[in-house]
Amino acid sequence: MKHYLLIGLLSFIFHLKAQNDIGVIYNSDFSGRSVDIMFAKKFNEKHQFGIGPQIFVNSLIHYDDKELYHKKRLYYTNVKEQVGLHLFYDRHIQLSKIKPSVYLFGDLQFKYASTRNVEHPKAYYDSINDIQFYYRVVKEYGPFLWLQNSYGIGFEELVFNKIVLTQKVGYGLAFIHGKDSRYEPETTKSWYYGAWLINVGISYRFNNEMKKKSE
Amino acid sequence: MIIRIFIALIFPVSLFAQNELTGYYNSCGSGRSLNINYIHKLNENSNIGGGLLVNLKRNGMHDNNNNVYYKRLHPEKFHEYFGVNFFYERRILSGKSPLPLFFITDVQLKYSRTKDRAFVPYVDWEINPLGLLVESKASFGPFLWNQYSFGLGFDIPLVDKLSITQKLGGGVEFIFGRDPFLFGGSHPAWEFAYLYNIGIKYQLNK
Repeated sequence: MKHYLLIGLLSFIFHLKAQNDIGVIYNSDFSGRSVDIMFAKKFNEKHQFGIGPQIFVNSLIHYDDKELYHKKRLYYTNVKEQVGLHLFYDRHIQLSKIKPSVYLFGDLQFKYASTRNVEHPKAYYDSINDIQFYYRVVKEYGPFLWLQNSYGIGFEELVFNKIVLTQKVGYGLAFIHGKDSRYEPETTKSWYYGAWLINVGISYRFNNEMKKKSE
Repeated sequence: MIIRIFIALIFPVSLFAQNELTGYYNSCGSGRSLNINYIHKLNENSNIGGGLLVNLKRNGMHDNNNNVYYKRLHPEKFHEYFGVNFFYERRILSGKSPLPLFFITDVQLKYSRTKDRAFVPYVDWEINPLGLLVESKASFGPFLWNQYSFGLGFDIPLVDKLSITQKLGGGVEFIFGRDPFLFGGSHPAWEFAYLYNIGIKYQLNK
């Protein structure tokens, strides 16, 4: 089995040598942050397709103090939950006056992981001294299936000989599915949220079409 | 008065040189701001710049980490919205990269108060023998905030005279001033802080 995987990976990389990118992306989306390894293939001047695994970055600190359920709360508890799948499609657009290579993109991310939530539920109210007391509780909910579909605009620019900088910003829908372990543990539910996506990446280009064009 | 001195210092050099205007979003240790800067080209490889910044408010906290200063700058009075920043940038790897890459150093000055929310233990053990928490909402200051940062920046030419400019760096932020309700800590207080800028640059005389 391992040999098949190795042969598959090698043939994929060999195929990539034809015209394409291997890169690392910092990804910030609804669930949190991840570092993604990306294999991208350009089909012609306009169309590019990419795929790769993403490795989540856990954070003990929340990005707000609002005690939300899912937003930026993804927290893997085992190796299986640490890895997700990232797919994208880029449609390059020709703008005669704009110098960098600009594209519109569609982006899809799959994850299966838990959340970690720091909460402050009310303990009791001391009416003599007029003080409301709170507990501090750390809980893990899930695991949930996370799916984010985003659309937006991006651009790429040659930094060195074959090194390309890519940046993307988009907006889309985050779909989360799983047992509602925070409020109704026996019920399976789905949640939908509007969500931003930001990607910054550095990739290595095997066949540098951008350089050829500029030359 | 500060603005007049600033214009007087900048105006003479601006007449004879190749200069740029830039407007950008700035995220740093104290919080977020919108900056308008004037850039003077000293030579082929070096630029100096400076200008005004307008602090942006945020009603919620940036994190739930009970910080006092980090990302807690919150202007209340009119003059607390404004600050100044200065920077120096030097072109690096000019022969190797088609992208204009810079080494940057940046100084920011602000005068404003904080807005804090935290859950802290109630210290009277007779009332609170279980060590439960109370919600603390407070505003401290005003303080003088001074961040020094170093890092890398680059411009991506967009059209004829316009380019996208970005900077990423790190440094130290000093917070000068004392508040009688804030106990402990060093004076001035200081923290490590990052810097991220993204904006548009316009070349005045190409």
